[in-house]
Amino acid sequence: MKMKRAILSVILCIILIYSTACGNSGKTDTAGQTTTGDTASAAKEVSFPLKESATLTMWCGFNVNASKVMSDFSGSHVFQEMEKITNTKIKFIHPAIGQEVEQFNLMIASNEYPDMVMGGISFYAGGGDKAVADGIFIKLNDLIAKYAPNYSKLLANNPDAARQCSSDNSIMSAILPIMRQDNLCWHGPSIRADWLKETGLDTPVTISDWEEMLTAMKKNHPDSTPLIFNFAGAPVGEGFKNRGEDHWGVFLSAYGMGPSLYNDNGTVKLGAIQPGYKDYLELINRWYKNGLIDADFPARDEEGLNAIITSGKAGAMVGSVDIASNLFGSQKIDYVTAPYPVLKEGDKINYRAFDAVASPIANSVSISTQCKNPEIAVAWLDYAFSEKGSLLYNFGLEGEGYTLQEGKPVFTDTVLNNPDISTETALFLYKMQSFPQLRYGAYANPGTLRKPAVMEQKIAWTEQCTADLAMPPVTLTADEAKAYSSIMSTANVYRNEMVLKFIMGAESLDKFDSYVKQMDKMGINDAIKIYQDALGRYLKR
Amino acid sequence: MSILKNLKRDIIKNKYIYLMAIPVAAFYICFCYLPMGGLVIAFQDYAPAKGILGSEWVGFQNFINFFHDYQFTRLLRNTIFLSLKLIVFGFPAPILLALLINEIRWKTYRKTVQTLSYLPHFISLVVVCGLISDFTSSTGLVNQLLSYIGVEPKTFLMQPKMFQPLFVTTDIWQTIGWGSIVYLSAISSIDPGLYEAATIDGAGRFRQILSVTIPSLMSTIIVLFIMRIGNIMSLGYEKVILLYNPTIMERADIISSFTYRRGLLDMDYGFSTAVGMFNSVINFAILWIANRLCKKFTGESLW
Repeated sequence: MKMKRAILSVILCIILIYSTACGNSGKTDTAGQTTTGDTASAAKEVSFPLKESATLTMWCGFNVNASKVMSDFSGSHVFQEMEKITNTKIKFIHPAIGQEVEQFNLMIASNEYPDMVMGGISFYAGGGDKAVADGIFIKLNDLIAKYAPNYSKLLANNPDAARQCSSDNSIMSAILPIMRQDNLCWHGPSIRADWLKETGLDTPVTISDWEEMLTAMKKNHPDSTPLIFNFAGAPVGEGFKNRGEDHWGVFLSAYGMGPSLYNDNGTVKLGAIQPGYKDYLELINRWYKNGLIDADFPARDEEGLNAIITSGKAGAMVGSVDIASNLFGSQKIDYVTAPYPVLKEGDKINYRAFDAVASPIANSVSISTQCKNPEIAVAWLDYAFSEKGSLLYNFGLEGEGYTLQEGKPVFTDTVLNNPDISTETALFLYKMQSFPQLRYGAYANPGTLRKPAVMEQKIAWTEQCTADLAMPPVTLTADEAKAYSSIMSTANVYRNEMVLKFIMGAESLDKFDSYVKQMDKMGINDAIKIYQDALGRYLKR
Repeated sequence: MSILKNLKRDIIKNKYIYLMAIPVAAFYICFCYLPMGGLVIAFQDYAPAKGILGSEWVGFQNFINFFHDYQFTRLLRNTIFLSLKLIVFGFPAPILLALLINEIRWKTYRKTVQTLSYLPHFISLVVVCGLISDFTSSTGLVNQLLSYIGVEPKTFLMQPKMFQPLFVTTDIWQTIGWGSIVYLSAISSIDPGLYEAATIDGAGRFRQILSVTIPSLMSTIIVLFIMRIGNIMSLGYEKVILLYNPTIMERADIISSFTYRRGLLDMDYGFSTAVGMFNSVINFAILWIANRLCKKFTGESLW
């Protein structure tokens, strides 16, 4: 008798363990219900401040600079104010900095999701639609229509934003940040003023001007690295370090193409297999051979790059002008910016750093199927799109973060020139930089505003170049995304290896054609076709 | 029937021993055997939200895709060669160290050497890899020293040929002391009478090592060797992904780092499980062969 009972309990244990291990299958049903169910539960009213305080959990990436003054984002003055206004407390769950993708995937695999997830639609393989179909996030269309009046109004007035905020199947799986106006171009080449003066040359315009200047710098300072490609801000694995091209295409755009996939007047193309790319590689290969760019760039991390500049061994840098002004500024070195390089004087550049109207997607927030109060969550997120909320997120609290001068918000010295914390930290303490909101862009960037020169440089680049070659933020269907990633995860490894070998001279550029053929064999054209179809659907939205 | 009866009698007779074994058995069942059920996703187009029961079955498609991937041959080659190098150079190292330490007669010095040699074992791998890339960069310590004897400074981690030697040497540096502990304890259990007899027979120190110490260590060495062979394919991905970059991929990329990329970064769970399963099956085959060979030639074996 005892024996039987013991055996029974062991069997039950095993069943229990197995049912938790494969218990996900049951969940799809409930998820489906929630998705369709939110129309039914729409009777609730949400008005801030809530009568009964609510608590929502949010999974979102943290920031190194923010971590200097707070243990999580609830230490930001913006969210403390938001708690007063809305009577809603947000509990932040931060993944370890730099491991966001892995930890996001682990969270998804654990089947326990917090109420809100930041960047989920860009982390989830297959994107937002697939996450909704898989029962991870809820479809927000009805909720947004009811509980997000400010956000809805913005979309109604801006067709581009409306296109970018919902998918081809008109599914809204997240709330995205929206720009008030086109953002200024922030990324381009900057040059050390004293070294440029030494060479006696003018600010370079064409690529041959650049070569002349860099060669002269190398001659004057033999142990220096004349040109640095700073990949700060590039998506993981897409910096110059990994791909051999600047992630905003500086220098590459002179050859009439953009980095990675670009949109040539309605035709999607991949830069790395265009004939013009060979010319680009020839140039970079020559610069590499002559020591004009960093000899160890594939093995150099961001800190290492910054160290070259701050130790005064770099002549010019391609990167964010905000970073350039900080790095050069920290050594009290003057710098000048140069226009995007061209092949012949008078050429037009059609690719530059740009922001889509609804961007960055990484800062979008989705609501999970396990959220008990999606109405409150949506209304809470919508507040950042009201005029008041927009001021709060972009400029902070009136009196602390900004004062109104002639009706326009102007940052206080607490933000601009705080002796205790850096501007990068202030972005998260006194305002909230990375969050869905109605964005002022560069006009609410204290780092830029503090230096009027930087502002002018950004405006100059924005006026010089267009972003016509830029790929709009299209969405792929689940099957397309899967097919694309299975082609590209192999093709990208090959592409990056070959491009780096071409640059470093380990492979002769005569092999460029066979490299293109090999890319063909790997199905690169099918991958491009997927984006071509997606672009067609995007334009039809 | 009689087996069950015998088992029952045995359980009643040794009930406390069986009781003590329960937690161990439970551990292996929960964490080693039950997860094996998860291997079925190697034959699926697995999506976490759909679960094992809801995902689509694709047969051997994941395996076929892996064999057709252009990285397949080099992944296999790198994994095997790196493992072999680790065994050929890495396996004897702690034995040699143990023999050397054993010959030190001054106790304080011996303890110091022993402690220092296993300290690196406690350094986090991330830190170790940071040290490696700093020391071997073109402006790092190693290249500075080499430049005195006229070698042109070059970043080691950008030369495909340098990767595996660098991996093996740093691995030996990190594990040699820790690995020698087991041999030292085996040496200390050797009957001192054997050494006395050898001395009387006129054997010097070196002869004693060859004729007494090593034969006495042989069974420990064989067991550890077979276990090491059993891990030949299961090289950890951590050190590789911390050190590699596109310029040395061709020599640095191994099956486990590939599985990591496809599984955790691309979220292709079914595919990466198939790759991992392929890895384990080969591993098991090698282990079985090694065990058979050892049994045949030395009489010692794992089972």
